[in-house]
Amino acid sequence: MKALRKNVFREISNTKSRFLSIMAIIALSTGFFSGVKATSPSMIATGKQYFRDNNLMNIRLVSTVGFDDDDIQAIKDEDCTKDVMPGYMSDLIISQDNIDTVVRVFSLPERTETNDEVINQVDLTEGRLPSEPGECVIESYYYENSSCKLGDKIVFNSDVQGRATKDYIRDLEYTITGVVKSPIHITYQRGNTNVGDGSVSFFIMVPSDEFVTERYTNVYVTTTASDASIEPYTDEYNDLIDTQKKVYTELSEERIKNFNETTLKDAQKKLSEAKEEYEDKKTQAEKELSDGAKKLYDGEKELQEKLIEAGRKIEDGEKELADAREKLKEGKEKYVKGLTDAKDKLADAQKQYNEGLAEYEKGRSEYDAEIAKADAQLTAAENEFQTQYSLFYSTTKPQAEKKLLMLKSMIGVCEKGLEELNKSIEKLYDTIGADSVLGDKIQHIVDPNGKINEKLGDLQKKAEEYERKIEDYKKQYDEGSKQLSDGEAKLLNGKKQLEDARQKFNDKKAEGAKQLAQAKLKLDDAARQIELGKFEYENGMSTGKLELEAAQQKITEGEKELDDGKKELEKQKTEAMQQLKEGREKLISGRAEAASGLKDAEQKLSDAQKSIDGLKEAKWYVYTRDDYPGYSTLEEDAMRIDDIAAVFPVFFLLVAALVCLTTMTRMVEERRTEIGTLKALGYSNISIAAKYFIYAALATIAGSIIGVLIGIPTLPFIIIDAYSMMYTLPPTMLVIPWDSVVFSVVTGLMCTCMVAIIACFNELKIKPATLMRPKAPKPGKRILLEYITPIWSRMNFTSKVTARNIFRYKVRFLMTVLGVAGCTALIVGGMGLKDSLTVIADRQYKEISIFDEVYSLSESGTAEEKSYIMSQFHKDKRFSETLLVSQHWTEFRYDNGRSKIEVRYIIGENDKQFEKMFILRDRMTHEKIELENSGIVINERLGDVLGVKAGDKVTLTIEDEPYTATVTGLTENYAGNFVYMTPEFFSQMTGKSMAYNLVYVQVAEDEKDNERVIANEWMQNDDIVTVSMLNEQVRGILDMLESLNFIVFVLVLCAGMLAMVVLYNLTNINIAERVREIATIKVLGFYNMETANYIYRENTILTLSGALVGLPLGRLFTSFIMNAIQMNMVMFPEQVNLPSYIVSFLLTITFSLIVNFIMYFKMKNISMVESLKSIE
Amino acid sequence: MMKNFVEFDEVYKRYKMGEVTINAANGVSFSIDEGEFAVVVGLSGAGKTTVLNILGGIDSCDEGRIMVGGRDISHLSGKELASYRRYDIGFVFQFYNLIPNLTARENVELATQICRDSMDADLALESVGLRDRKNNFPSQLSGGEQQRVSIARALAKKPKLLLCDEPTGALDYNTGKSILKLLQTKCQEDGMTVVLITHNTAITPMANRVISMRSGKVISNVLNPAPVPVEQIEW
Repeated sequence: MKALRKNVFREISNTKSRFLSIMAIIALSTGFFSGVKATSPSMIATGKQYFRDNNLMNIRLVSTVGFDDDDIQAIKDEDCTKDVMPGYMSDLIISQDNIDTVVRVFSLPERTETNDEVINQVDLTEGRLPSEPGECVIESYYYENSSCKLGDKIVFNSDVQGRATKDYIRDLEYTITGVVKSPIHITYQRGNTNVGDGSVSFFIMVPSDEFVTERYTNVYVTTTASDASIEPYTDEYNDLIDTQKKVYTELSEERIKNFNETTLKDAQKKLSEAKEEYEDKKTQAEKELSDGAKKLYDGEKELQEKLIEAGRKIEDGEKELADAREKLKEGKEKYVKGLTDAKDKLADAQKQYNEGLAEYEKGRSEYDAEIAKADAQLTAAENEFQTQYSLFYSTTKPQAEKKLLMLKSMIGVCEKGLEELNKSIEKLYDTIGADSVLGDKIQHIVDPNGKINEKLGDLQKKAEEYERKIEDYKKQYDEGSKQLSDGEAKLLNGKKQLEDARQKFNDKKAEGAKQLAQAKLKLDDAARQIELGKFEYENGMSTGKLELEAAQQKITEGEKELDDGKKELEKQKTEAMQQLKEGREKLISGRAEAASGLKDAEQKLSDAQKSIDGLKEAKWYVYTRDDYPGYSTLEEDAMRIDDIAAVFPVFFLLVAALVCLTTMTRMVEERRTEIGTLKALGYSNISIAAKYFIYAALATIAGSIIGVLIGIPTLPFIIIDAYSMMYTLPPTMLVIPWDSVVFSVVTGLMCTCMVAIIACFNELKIKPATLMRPKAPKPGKRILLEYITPIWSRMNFTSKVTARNIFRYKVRFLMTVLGVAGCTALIVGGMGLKDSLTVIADRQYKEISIFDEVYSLSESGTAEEKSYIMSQFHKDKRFSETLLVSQHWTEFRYDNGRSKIEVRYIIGENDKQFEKMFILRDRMTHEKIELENSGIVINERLGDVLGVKAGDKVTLTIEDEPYTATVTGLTENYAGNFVYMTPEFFSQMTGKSMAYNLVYVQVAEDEKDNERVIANEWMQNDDIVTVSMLNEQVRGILDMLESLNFIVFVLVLCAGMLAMVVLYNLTNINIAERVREIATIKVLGFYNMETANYIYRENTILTLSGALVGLPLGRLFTSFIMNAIQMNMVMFPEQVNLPSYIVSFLLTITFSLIVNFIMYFKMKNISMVESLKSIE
Repeated sequence: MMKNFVEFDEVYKRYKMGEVTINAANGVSFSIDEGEFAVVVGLSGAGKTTVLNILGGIDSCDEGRIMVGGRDISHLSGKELASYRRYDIGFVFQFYNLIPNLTARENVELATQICRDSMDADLALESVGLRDRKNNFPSQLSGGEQQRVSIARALAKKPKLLLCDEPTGALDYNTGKSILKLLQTKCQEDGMTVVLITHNTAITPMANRVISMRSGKVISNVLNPAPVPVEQIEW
């Protein structure tokens, strides 16, 4: 036996990689399984321990009217009560980034005279508890997720919903001194409130003496259910609490009755007194107001009269002024006309004058010209004359006289000559004698011979000549003389004529001058006249102007006077009006003041009345731990993890088992010769098989130990840590799920040891001789594909080889494909889990429930009040849709009445809007489901739970009354269960009237950012009690999904690791089986890569096939998981998105590549010499 | 015909088995001329397989020099050795080492597809007398036939050197003889250099050269001037 044992260990050290891979697979699967399995109990245990350590209350009582010490005592007196701790709670408002945020202020849990132990003990995680007034502690969840620090101040707004903050607590400012965790707030959810935007952001705690409220608001009770013997989350606990809840509910009725009889009566009496007082004051105020009104009326009347008089005076003045203005106008016209006439006349005169002047000038110039001409002529004549004259006297006359003298002399000469001649003749005559007859005698005498006659004839002749000459001369002389005298006479005459002419000229000149002078005179006169006229005109103009100006001035003055008068009037009027207005305003404000004062008073009275009425409806609410979201969700979440654990790791184990099976079978087959030899040597079957059994057991147990040691301390922490986003729990308490550990180890052992033994015994059946011979290698065979010539002939040599190899080892082929497919399916499952859960948020809140906010109306409102509120909602343009809804609880029984489920039924007032906010449709076809008046529509999950289809009848219980209705359709819905019906159907079914209590709204697209502000505003409305915003819910779900992400990551990681181990193992087997083949082709001269590819080509094809098979398998697996975690409340859709498939596929391929990479070295190191030596 | 086509010069090969060192080749020196049919004889453990493996490039020596066709192969890298095996060496094993999953022809093709200048697979099979069995899987062939496929596979590569490791070891007398005949024919007719190792000294007369080994050493290297045809040898 010693040799055999040695054989085992040698075997292990010889086949390290096989041993290790079995161990790794077992470690992975047991570790994963037990780790995930440990999570849920650890989570619950942590919670339970926490609740116990911190003494979590079992019952919480809240009263609409608060509690007094008598109430506390009464509660304490109940048999089931262990401890009672009264406390305070107020929802107050702080301003954060200008948004009103609701902070819930609790009194710190503490010892009172009624409780021995502090209930709901808080854990201080940082800082210290308040020790001075004005200090508080803050919750850790908020503290960790916000920027606030110790020492920061919480500053409350001075009022809350119309009430002073100081009505609730002592200070407005509280300094944060510490951080606490409270067992009643283990999730991030903080609940709703009826102030602010309707949701509580976080809470702080202050010592109870900081509260100024008279009555306690909360009472925390621990009951016998908190005994150590009773485990929470068990049926025992739940049943006990149900009974105890009833006890307190009964007590509450009794206490309320008592309250109504005492406290309420006093309040009513006080109110009545106040009402009387109010009436008195009202009357007085009304009288004062009416006096004021009368005075105002008088004043108004007086003003009116005075105004009329002033108006009249102004009218007169205006009339006078108008007359004067008229006159002035006329004057002006006259003046202008006169002036124009005068101007015309003057112009005429001027013209005439000008003409006269022109004429005169003309005449004068003519006259001057004539005169000048005449003068010139005259002067010329005179000059001529003078010339003539002087010529005559100077020349002609002397000449003539000279001539005459000459003539005279000549005459004289001639006469002398003649006398002489005559003498001579006489002589001669004498001589001759006789004179005439002498002459002839003389002549003969003188001319004795004739000569003296001749001479006397000559002399006679001469003397005759003389005589003719004298005669001539005399004539000439006479003529000269005459001429001279004529000339002289002529000159004289000329002179005279000239003188006459001059005289005449002078006369004429004088006369012309005279005439001109006269004309000039006349003209001058006319000019003077004109000057005079001008002067008169100008004078008239200026004086007229002056007069007119004076008149104008008078008018202006008159106007000014009038204006002043008017202004004065206006001023006085305005003043008077102002006074009146003020008076009126005073009266109005007085009235308003009085009215508002009265209204306030009335409001106060009615508020008081209301609150008394409210008190009349006073109620105690009895809450259990289940009413705190964290308590029940903790269990639900834990259950869900457990459900996942029930599916995932089992599948995981399955894959692992498959691989171990292959490996062990292979191992036994490999050791065939050895088995034969041992058998031949005479070892018993059992001792031969023992080797393989021990080998397998060792691998499995070692693997399990490693797996459990790694899995249990890590996975629960990782998963719970993922949930810590939502829970503020103390450090996780690890619970080791022994059953699961045992289960996984046993499964592992079964897979390995059993397989080893079975395989071994299979071999042992064969005769040792045969065994000792090497098992003939599996003969080559034609594969089906080869008969399909068109394909086969087209394949290249290596593809053919690969194809034949793949189909040669069908089992290995199947195992590999299944193993890989399993891993891919696990990854797909993990991703699908997330995809499916994401769908809930996406579909539910984007496609099915398309509303943003839900306002709850106060229960007491009448139908009219509700329709008024609705009209206001309609008016608010920030909402795109609003719908009045009646939403209450109903109850169904299923499982033949054994189980019941509480469901909300929703009735929309308006079909159209209902259809816009609640999408009723078939999940698969997305076909719309009509809400008919003949029945109800329920959601698919509810249908599943109740086991009903469309057309079935169901019984629903509303306020303890059972009704039967036909289900007309099953609608797609994920979160929560709902019954939908029309108002008509409801009335028809129940015969009751509708009690609308909620308003569902859709916020307009562009107002989405203001949701909180809108909610805040609406919360100011007294008729709105709470508001819940869908966004917050979605955020909560997204948070949950966020934590899921990590879990999915862990899942995928584990699945990936498994995939690697599986692939490694299978490849390892593949190589081991074909080491001779590989060595041969290496000898043939295949390079390392070529050799590797010879194997990889198969591996790759197997992996790809496996991965491809794994995808639909993963889809199935997802359905399987989703079914496993199904809850009554939530329908989990099954959905795997394309990216998830792709990622899963690629991940598998990646793992396979990694394995191939590792295997490359193994293949490279195959020694040709060793492998070819000989067949053992 | 090249003289000293194969030349071993003081070749050592040591295996460490735990603390014991075995000198599988302890200063082996010999040479073979081209075209010779060389037989290496010796008892089990004499080191003949080691010599053959080193010569075939599937093992390496620790010391010494091996020349093949004028090329030193003792210091080749893994990849160079693979090329050497691929292009220069044909191997025939005692247990044929056929790929069971491939037909006779495919087994030959497995070798030819990686060679540059290879023989047609059908031709190779024909030359070993297996024309009609080329589409059979190894399991459908007798031992002799399998060995013929193995020889065809080796020859199809047109190697410079045909190495045979006890090719008749797993065969019956007559089949063995026919295989030897085939090898001798290939050597004589095609001028193929053949190195055959065997423990059977009876077949030495058919060789051109007989190299005897003992304890990792060559103890004699004799030329046979007149090789006898296989048919005439009996053992």
